[in-house]
Amino acid sequence: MGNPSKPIWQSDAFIILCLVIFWPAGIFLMWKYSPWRKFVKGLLTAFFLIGVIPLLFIWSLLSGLRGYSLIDNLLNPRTVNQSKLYNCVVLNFDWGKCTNRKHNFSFEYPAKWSYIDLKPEGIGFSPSDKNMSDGFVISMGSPSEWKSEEEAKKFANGYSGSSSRQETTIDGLYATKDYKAFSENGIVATAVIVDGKTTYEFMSLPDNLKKASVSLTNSELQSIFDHMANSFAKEK
Amino acid sequence: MDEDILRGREKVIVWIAGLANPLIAGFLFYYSWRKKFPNKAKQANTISFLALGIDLTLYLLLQNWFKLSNTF
Repeated sequence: MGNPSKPIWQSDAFIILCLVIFWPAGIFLMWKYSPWRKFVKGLLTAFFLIGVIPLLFIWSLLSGLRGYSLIDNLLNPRTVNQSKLYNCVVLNFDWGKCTNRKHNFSFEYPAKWSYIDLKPEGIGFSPSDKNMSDGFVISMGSPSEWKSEEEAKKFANGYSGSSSRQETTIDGLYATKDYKAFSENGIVATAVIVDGKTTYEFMSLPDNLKKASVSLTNSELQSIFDHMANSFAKEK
Repeated sequence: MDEDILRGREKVIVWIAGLANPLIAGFLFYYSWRKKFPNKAKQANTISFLALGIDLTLYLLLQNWFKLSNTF
C-alpha cells in the first residue's frame, strides 16, 4: 500500500471506494483526509448531493403508493389537529364539534381524539396521533355530488340491491347505516347521509386500532361511531 | 513515498469499487492518480473497463436467467 504509516481509510483508494459504495462516508473521509484540491472536493460533494434529489423523488413516488408522499407533503402539508377545511373545537370533556365551512355541516367527535385532513375534503379521527395519514379509525369522507337525488339514495343503499343497510333519518335527512363484521378486529360501519344530490359518508376502520396501539372494544367504537353519525347536522 | 503500481489491498479496493460502479470509480481513480501516479491511474482505468465488461456480461446472463425462470 505504499506509505505504511498511513491507515487504509485515509488512502485515496479507500476514499474512492467509499464514494462509490457509500458516498456519505466517502464525502466525510474525503474532506477529512484526502489531499485533493478544495475545488475538486466541492465538485464531488455537489455531484453526490445533486444525485440524491432524483432518489428522493423516486422514493417519494414509491412511498406515495402507500399513502405518504414526501413531495405531496411538502406541497400540501397536513398536520395533526390542524384542518384547512374543518373547524374543530372542543365542546366539553367528552365531545368536540367539527364544522365544514365549505359544505356547511357539522358533527361531533371524541374530544380526546386526534384528527387529520383527508384528501380531497375528508377528515380522519383516531384515538392516537401516530400514523394519522393512513391510520385513522373513523373518517368523514369527502362529500360526493350525484346526478340526482335518486342516484345519491341509490349510493346510500348500496348498488348491489341486496344490502344489509338500515334506513334511518339523521337531522331530518335520509340516511342509511350498515354494520359489517368482516374485520377480525371489529365491526366496519358506514353511515351515509343524503342531502339532495350530495352524500356524506362516515366510516369506521377498526383494523387501524392496531396501528394506533389503542384498545377499544367493539361496542365502544360502535357507540362513538353512532354518536358521530347521529350528531351530523346541516348548518343553517 | 507511494509506489506507482497497484498491488495488494489497493488493487482489491480498485476492483471492488470498479465492479460496484465502473463509471464513477474509473473516473475518480484515473483523475485522482493521473498526475502523481500515471501507471496506477492506467491500471485502475484498465480494471474499471474490465469490471464494466464483467458487469455487462453478468447483467446479460442474469437477464436471460430471469427470463427463463419466468417462463416456467
